[in-house]
Parts: sequence; structure tokens; C-alpha cells
Amino acid sequence: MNVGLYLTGAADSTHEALLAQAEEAERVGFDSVWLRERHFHPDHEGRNFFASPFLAAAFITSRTSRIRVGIGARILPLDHPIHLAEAGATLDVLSGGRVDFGIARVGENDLYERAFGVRVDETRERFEETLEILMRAWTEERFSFEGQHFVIPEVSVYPRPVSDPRPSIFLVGITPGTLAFGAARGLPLLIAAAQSRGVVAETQETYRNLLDDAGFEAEDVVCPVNRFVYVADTNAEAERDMRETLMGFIHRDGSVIRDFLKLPASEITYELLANEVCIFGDAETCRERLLELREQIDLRNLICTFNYFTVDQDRCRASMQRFSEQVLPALAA
Amino acid sequence: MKQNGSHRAAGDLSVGLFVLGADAATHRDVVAQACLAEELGFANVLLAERHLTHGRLLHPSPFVLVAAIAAQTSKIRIGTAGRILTLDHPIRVAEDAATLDVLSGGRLELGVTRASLDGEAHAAFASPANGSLGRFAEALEILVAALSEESFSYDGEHFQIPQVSVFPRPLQRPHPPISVVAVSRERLLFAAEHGYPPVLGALATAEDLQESFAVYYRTLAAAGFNGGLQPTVNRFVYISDTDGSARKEMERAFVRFIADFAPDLRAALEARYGDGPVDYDRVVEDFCLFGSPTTVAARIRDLQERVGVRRLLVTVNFPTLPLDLCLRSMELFATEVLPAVNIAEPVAVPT
Repeated sequence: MNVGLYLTGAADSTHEALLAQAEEAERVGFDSVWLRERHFHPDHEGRNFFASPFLAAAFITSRTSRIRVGIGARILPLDHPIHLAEAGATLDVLSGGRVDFGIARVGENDLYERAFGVRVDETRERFEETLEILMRAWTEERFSFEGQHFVIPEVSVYPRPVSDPRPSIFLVGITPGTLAFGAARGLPLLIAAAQSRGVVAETQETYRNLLDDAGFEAEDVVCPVNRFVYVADTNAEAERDMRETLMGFIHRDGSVIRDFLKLPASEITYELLANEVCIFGDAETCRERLLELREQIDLRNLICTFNYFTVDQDRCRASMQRFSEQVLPALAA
Repeated sequence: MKQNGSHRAAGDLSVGLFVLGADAATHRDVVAQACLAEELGFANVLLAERHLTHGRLLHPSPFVLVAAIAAQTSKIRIGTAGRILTLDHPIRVAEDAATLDVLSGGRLELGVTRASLDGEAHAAFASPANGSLGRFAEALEILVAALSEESFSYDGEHFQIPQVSVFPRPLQRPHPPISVVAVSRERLLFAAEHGYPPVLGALATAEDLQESFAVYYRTLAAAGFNGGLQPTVNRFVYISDTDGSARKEMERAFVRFIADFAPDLRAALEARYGDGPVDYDRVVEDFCLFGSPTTVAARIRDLQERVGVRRLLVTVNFPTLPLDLCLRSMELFATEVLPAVNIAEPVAVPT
């Protein structure tokens, strides 16, 4: 199993702490770290996310030698595709091909589009055109493009990526339109942490069928699955630490999670989340839960999110350490 | 009296390294050069932005390289001279700049420029360079507001931005020092009128610089800013043991550099001297610091005394110059020229 780390911020983590955590992830045996792109979150007081994941990725790959860095994900309609292609290629060259590019159509809310001057009803077309330009810019020495939103005369994007045939691209999305679009291009789908295992299994099945229909060998397309993980010394401690923070989050800002769960708010309980969505418990429980999950879904690429909600950095790091010492070896076996 | 940017005691010289692009395979060499510049005591290392056909001359994504340099260095100040504001959304530039300031521990110097000198990038990005001064001015206002205010909104002709708080917050307050690349008189006046220090291009003679400094300070004072702002002057530099060997070793590389890598420099030279091949001796005499350590130090002292240059940026890594000669030139510059001029200790953040 390929095991990664989703590097979102803990409640009190500084950027410095997050960057140190990426280096630590390499030391203790993770295969990748993933960064996301978020904008304008005054309630997070700017402590705990990267508005510019490409720059954080350049920093992290410069401080590491083996680990892959995933961007999960760049919101394509917010940038010009040539900029994305150039910056992505520069990262690819600098890192020796260690960066994976996740792409998304929209962010958490439409403030992103309004601030960046993009019409919300144009995001799908812009997303699709941007991806096509990105793929062509990376694979064709020269290309031109004429779409609804972008008209690009014949150009050659520099630098040329070192990844052959191009840097890897992952799709982040949940809408049927986005899934169909990604499957038609054979892109691996990154599955969000907030989906229950039942929904993950359904999504994977749907996506496999879409890949088949598009003529791709679904088995060859490894779709990473993100999970909230908390490894405590005991199961009771895990529940004590997680119950309040998790339910607090659901009540405060639960709409996104409810969309992913496809359940009404009244049916979302701590027990449901702990059993169906998250991997919480002592090391043995977490190990067993993950091995069991591997039987139920395609878990060839697991991404663990240790930092989330109101969990503080110390508990994140302790959880991550227990995971790397007591859970990771069993998964690698 | 309004104040903006850095203030430095008269007489002191800050010397930074301006790193040209090279082949993609040597992207890591750009980072390595920045590390060497830190070791050799340069005050800063700055990169500039160009795209597509011209991407090799400079850097299509300078911020990505600056992030990598931030990871490999600890003291030297790092940044751009400059980032092209009309090809990107100002919120993106602000977020990127703040991120770099955080990643570097507050070492960012943010040079910005209005447009790319070639038309190709503006065509590809569907952002016409002609008449873009208004967009540039708005983008710069947004950049400053986004970096320095907890929360802001903007209602302009080119940009409308609802109330947002841009994160992360930069470490340098109110914002990392901003300079404006001013290869034209228009932008020199813009820099002065808005209270930013300008970065002056490498193709200006000492006399040109004298005039630019005079115009800048006169306009700056008229706009109500104090005189503490220091223009940065870029110079092409090559050092060898003797003046003769320096000129000779550099001739082919420099002529090829102008001809094959720098069409806009070639155009600027033709505009000044008329069409035709580069008159190497004349160009060197007028603009370039090519020579022995003694000669180059004397010419820098001349720029200090006659023009009042306090911030020098040197360009040494010509892509057409063999790497060993380039590195030797850089070392000779640091070990024999810098001690012979009146160097300022790298200073921390103004504001």
C-alpha cells in the first residue's frame, strides 16, 4: 500500500510546523504529502493552510529527496492555464518529477470566483479548457488552442517537464459531470476524506465503469483515498479526543461534509462518523480497520489526514508518530 | 512626509545578484547560484519573469524558484525584479508573495513590472500590453492592500474584489519591500509618483543613470515622499585577471547572448546605436562592468560617487558563458571587488 499524508493545518499549527511535518513524513516512511489550495478563511486566522500550494511544494521538495508532493488540488478556473503549465513544469523539473498535480473545478464557496473575477457559471467550461491546455502544453512541443475562454496562438511552453510523458494529474471532484470528464481522460480520482466507506465503494465502482466505458483499463488507474486518522493510546482516549471536535465541526461548518456523506444532518452521529468515515482508535484498532477497509475498497493508495478541525499540533504529531511506528509497517507488508 | 521602502545610510552599497535563466536542466543551478551568492555575502538574489520563447532568458515562474531558494538559504534576501503584474491576478500575486515571505522567514523583496517586453506573452495570456498602465496601477494597489490590510475590498475599472482577507499574512509589515522595474521613463515617473524605489535596467550609461536619478528624486519630492528611497541599478558584470582577458573571454559569449537570447536588449541597442551587429567595445564601454577586479571596483566607486548608486544588482550568469568562467567571475567579484567598494552589511527589513 502506498501511504501518504494530507498536510492540512492543525488548529494551532504554524506554516513552519507544517513544513517540518512534511520533512518528518519523509523520515518516518510516508510515500507522499498532499497540500491543498484554500483562500480567504478569516476564521482560520491564516495559520493553517496554503493559498499557494505550488510554492509550498517547491519548498518541501527542496528540503526532501524521496517523498512525493501532491497538490490536492489546484482550482483551475482561478488561474491562466499557461501560468499553471509553466509553474507545474518548473516544479516538475526542480523536484525531479516528484510532484503530482490534483485539479479541481471549484473551491469551497463562490467567494473564490468572485474575488478572482471568474463567473461561477463558467467554471466548468474554464476547467475543461484549462485541463486540455495544461495537458497539451506539457506533452506537445508547440501547440495552439481556440476555445470559448482561451485563445492561444501557437506557443511552446518552457520549461519542458522531466516526467514522461507528462507530470501526473489527479482529479478532485464529486459531481457526475466532473467524474465523467476525468474518466474520459483516464485521470485517477482522489477520493475525499469525508466520504463514508460505503460511498467510497460506490464512487469507486461508478468511476471504474466510467473508465471502462472510456476504454481505459480501470485496474491500472490507482485512485487515492483520503481518510481522517487519529491514533491514540487507547480507544477511549481516541473517542474522548475526537467526539467533541468532530461533532463541533459538523455543526459549525457541516454542509460540505453532509454533501460528501449524502446524508441529512439528523442522521450524522459521532458513531456513524467514527465507524464509517474515520479511522480512530488505538494503533491495533486503526491497523485492523485499515486492513478491513482494504478488503472493501481499492486502498492501494491511502492518504491520511491527521491534522483537522480543532485538533492541536501536538496531538496531531503524536497521532502521526503512533501511526508511523505501529500502523504503517503492517500496511506496507 | 510619506515614507515607503528602505532607507540606507549614504555611502553604503548593497550588492545583489540578478540571476538570468538558463536551460531547464540547470534550474537547480539557479538555486545553487543563490546558495553561492549567500556564501559570498551578496545582499539579495533577484529573478525576473519572462515567458514562452523568452522563458529561457529569465524565468517563467520566478516565484516557484524563489520558494526553492528559500528552502536552501537562510540569510540572503530573495525575490523578484520583477514579477509581471498584468499577466496574473493581483490576489494570486499577493497570496504567493505572502507565502514566500512566510517560507523565507521574512526575506522577500518584491519587485514588480508592468509588462513583458515581448508581445508574445501578452498575446498568449490575452492581456494586451498596450495601455496596460491602468491595470498595472490597480493591480499594484490591490497587491499592497491585500498584503497590508487585514481585510479589504476594491472597486476599480479593471478589478472588482469583494471584501476578503488574504492569507497567509506576510511576516514583514506592512508588507515586503516593493520596487518597480522602470526600464522606461513612464514607469520611472510612476515609481516616483507612487513612492516606490525603481529598478533600472542594465542598458543605461552612467550619464543615463545620473539623469534617471535626478528625474526620480525630483518627481519623488514633488509627490511628497522623502528621499530615502534608493533606486536599484542592474549591471552586466564579468571579472577576469586583467581587463584584456576579461574583454576577450566575454566577447563571444556576450555577443551571442545579445543576438540569441535577448531580442529586446538587441532592439534597445539598435534603437540607441542604429541597426547592425553589436559594437562590442562600445557597448562594454557604455554599460558593462567587464574587466579586472581593480577596474570594475573603480567603475563601481564611480557609480557610487557620480550617480549616487546605493543598490547595485549584478548579472553574471550569461547562459552563453562557460560555467567555470561564470563561477570564477562571481568569486573574483565577491572576493576582490566587493572588499574594494564601500559595502553595506546586508540590512534587514525596512518599514
